[in-house]
Amino acid sequence: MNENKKQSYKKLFRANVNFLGGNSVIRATDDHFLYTESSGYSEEYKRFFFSDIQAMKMVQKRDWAFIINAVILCFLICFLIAFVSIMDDEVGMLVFSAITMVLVIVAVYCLFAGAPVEVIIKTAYSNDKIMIGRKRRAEKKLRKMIASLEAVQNIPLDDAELYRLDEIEKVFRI
Amino acid sequence: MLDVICEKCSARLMVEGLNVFSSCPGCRLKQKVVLFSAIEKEPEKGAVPEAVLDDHAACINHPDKSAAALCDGCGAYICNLCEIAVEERHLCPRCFNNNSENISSLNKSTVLHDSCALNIAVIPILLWPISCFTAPIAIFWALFHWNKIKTPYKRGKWRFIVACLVATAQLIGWGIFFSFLVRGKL
Repeated sequence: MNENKKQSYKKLFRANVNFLGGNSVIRATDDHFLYTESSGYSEEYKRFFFSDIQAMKMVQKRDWAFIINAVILCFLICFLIAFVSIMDDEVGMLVFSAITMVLVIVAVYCLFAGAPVEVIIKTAYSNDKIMIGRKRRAEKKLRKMIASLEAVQNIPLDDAELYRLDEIEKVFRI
Repeated sequence: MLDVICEKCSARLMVEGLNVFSSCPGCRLKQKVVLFSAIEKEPEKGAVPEAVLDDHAACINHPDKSAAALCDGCGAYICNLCEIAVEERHLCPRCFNNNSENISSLNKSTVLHDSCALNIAVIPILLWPISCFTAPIAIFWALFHWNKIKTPYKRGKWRFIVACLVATAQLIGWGIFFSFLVRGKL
């Protein structure tokens, strides 16, 4: 049996899912995407065949606002502590200033990169969520995925097609 | 009719156009839809097996159905309903179940033994006294699982190599340490 045949996948992009080493990677081959979600010690795979993909829905998650608020709050607390420490302790000032700087960098990154985005890939058989990172880069990543699909399917449908689909009696639920 | 449902609250979205973000009227979650021509494609229906004729072979699982193929695993006659085409082969359900873990295109998950070996070798550097126990474990782990990672894509073996090198260096270090200890005592 031709069991261990490895397909030649091209890595399209990688997105970090969490700070503990979890990440997701999208690879493409001639006829499908391979979505890999890794915890660092194990990986899970999903395959999406180009000819089966009916729609992609990009969802901008809202929990980023909470994260940014939390980070800004931490930053303010550390700033206050650093300010208090200036009074009588130079070591304390240095430590808390360093923490403050790290939090500032995280806050700026969160603001710059935008909200986390997930993409729901709809096929005739299932709807699957994939994580593709933050909004700023997610648009570029989605374009890469669409470019891979163009060889098999027509280019993404435009607004005229949207009106045509609206007039059809059959319900296309996404 | 296109019916776009909100992922969070299941309300119906008023889609203003494709490839632009629309807010859900219920929860204000922003969503964007990209459609492809396969949206109008119906799911493929499986083949219907034909009734067996006098001079035809019958399916091993359905004696009243005509065989359509031979299983590439066990050689049994199988009908259209039982035939599972995978990686240019035709398998009966039993062979498919028995071999599904070994078929790379059906691989759903894998344990990354190379990352485990690397972490077993590297993390104890922070807790160096335990490295005399973890270094041999890391080498054993790497060698035992050398060919056991079944990823669908090509994955290099550099993690195994680094784990072995780091663990070997730790063992050499411990060897030198113990030799000095023994000499000092002698």
